[in-house]
Amino acid sequence: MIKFNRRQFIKAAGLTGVAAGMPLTAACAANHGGGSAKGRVVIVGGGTGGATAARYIKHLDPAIDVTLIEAGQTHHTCYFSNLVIGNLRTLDSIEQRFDNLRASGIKVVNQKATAIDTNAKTVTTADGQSHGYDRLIVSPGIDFANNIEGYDEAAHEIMPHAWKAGPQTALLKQQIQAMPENGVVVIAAPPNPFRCPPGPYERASLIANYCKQHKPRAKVMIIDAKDAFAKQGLFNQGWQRHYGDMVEWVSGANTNGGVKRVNPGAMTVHTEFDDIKADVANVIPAQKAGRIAELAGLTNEGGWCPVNFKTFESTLVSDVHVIGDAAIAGPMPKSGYIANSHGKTVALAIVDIMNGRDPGQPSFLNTCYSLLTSEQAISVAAVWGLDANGEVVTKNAGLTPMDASDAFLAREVEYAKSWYKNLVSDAWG
Amino acid sequence: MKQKLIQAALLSGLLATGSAFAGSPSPQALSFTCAGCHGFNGASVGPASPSLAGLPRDFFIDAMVAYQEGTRPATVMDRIAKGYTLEEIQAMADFFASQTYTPAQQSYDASLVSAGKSIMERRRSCGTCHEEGGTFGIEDLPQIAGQWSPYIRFSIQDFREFGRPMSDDKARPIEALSASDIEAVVAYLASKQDPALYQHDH
Repeated sequence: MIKFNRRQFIKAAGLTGVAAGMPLTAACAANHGGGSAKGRVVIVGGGTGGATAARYIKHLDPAIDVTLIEAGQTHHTCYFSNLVIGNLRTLDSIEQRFDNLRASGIKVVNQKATAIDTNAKTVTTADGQSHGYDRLIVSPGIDFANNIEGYDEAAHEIMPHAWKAGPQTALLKQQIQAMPENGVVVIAAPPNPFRCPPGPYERASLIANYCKQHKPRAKVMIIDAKDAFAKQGLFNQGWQRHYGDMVEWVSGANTNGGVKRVNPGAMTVHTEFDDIKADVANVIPAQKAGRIAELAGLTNEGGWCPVNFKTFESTLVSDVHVIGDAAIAGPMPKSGYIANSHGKTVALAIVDIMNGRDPGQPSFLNTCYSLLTSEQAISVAAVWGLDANGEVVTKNAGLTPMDASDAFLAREVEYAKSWYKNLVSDAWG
Repeated sequence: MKQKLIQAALLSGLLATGSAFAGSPSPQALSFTCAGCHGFNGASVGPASPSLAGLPRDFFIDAMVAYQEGTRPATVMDRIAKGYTLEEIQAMADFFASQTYTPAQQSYDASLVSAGKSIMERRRSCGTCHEEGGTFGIEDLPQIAGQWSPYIRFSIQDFREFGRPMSDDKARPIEALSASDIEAVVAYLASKQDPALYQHDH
């Protein structure tokens, strides 16, 4: 019997000139000598979407000039920040740096983008600099809508949203650790659509996981704007099993839409029917695309950015692409994994466009883990493509099965850790 | 085998040009989406999800089809595999087969390595098919050395406890392993961290 292995195949394929997946970079570098830039891409936002787009454009075609504008010196991922709040990880462990992107030839500008002129095709940063682009990618994440009376900037420091990771994450964690042993944590969960659909419920789980050990008489109450939520059956099963009465979810139907007003001075949150005193109030408002998207005229009346799903180019402004949480992406959730998936799609599309090719068909994947405890996690996974009309179609989607074994749920924790490590490594290098 | 090789070369050649399957995502468009769990170009940075880079083409295809059909135990991969056509799976298989295998840089119990080596090299044991210390698989078998240790443990557990199908030749040695044998094999496989060990000239 002849021993055959992939190395022989690659050798053979290489000799006949049909090497599969030969890095596109090699072809492009050869065509263009790696010399002068063939186009300028500016990316606003160094979160998962923006970082991924930057890395992949540079990877696919080093001759494209890539500038990444990000206000922060570093970026804390929102995913896995619930593990920080639940005392399972440090804040430092979810902090991402831009050094590797810089080292790969991307210009990283640590300035806040203050204005986008889509006619002149420039982005202005807080230091007054102007950055010209041929193609702009806007990956601004979310901002908050004003749906909760009294929840102003000052209130954020008393009743943290912790829905943008960083100091807010640390504040919420500190408040939970400092509350009385029988403390009440109120999570005001937002209406759809919002960043990280299972996030408020994972957060409740991991706060309860912490309290079970350290404050066994505490209570975690989720006052939801919605009548249903992501992975609901699995969360309910996990809460009943691990936390009993410690976690309580109040449907939006019971309060006519959840928290409508807060009083940070009195530490109270208010629905239309109830006034609730909290020891810790985690108020997560309704959301919309990051402010810069609105300033640039990229948002619709709902506050989000409509895009062409093949290229993620805005349907409102040409040569500007919007990815990640800010984009209206059909059935795709606003998740870190999807922002990463969008980042690659836009990278492939822009590299195609700048090389005079028609953009290819995209393929999207989301995998999203939520921890129920430090030892058990659940997941949702889905694959999407485009139909002939360019609409997003779900190829398959599914959740962790109900009643999964402990071994299954423990593996999901291990794979969740791998998901985090590989995801951030893929985005920031 | 030769037939397979030609088919593989033709298929990948066509796909690489991106023109033959207008309307289908390119191999890159498909394969890039795996990176969030399996690493940039399929080289996993761990600690559990396996690397796909450098996997034998047919092993990748068989695995994905088994996930689709429910014959291989899975957490998320059954749900994900069902989202792709066979042609798309083949395109991803070609993409990952063309990437360089990157052995995991991970800690292991050095005191168990020689015991693991002995187990691997027993007559009719793992090493019969997973040759050269597991750095090379005969036929379509993957490298098992250099994969992340939790994944190796999960795989052994899948064969022994969760009904992952296997041949009698595989069942005999794998069912004979004690818990300490498994840890020794895991340590031995994890010790193979030099990429040069994986450059075989068979």
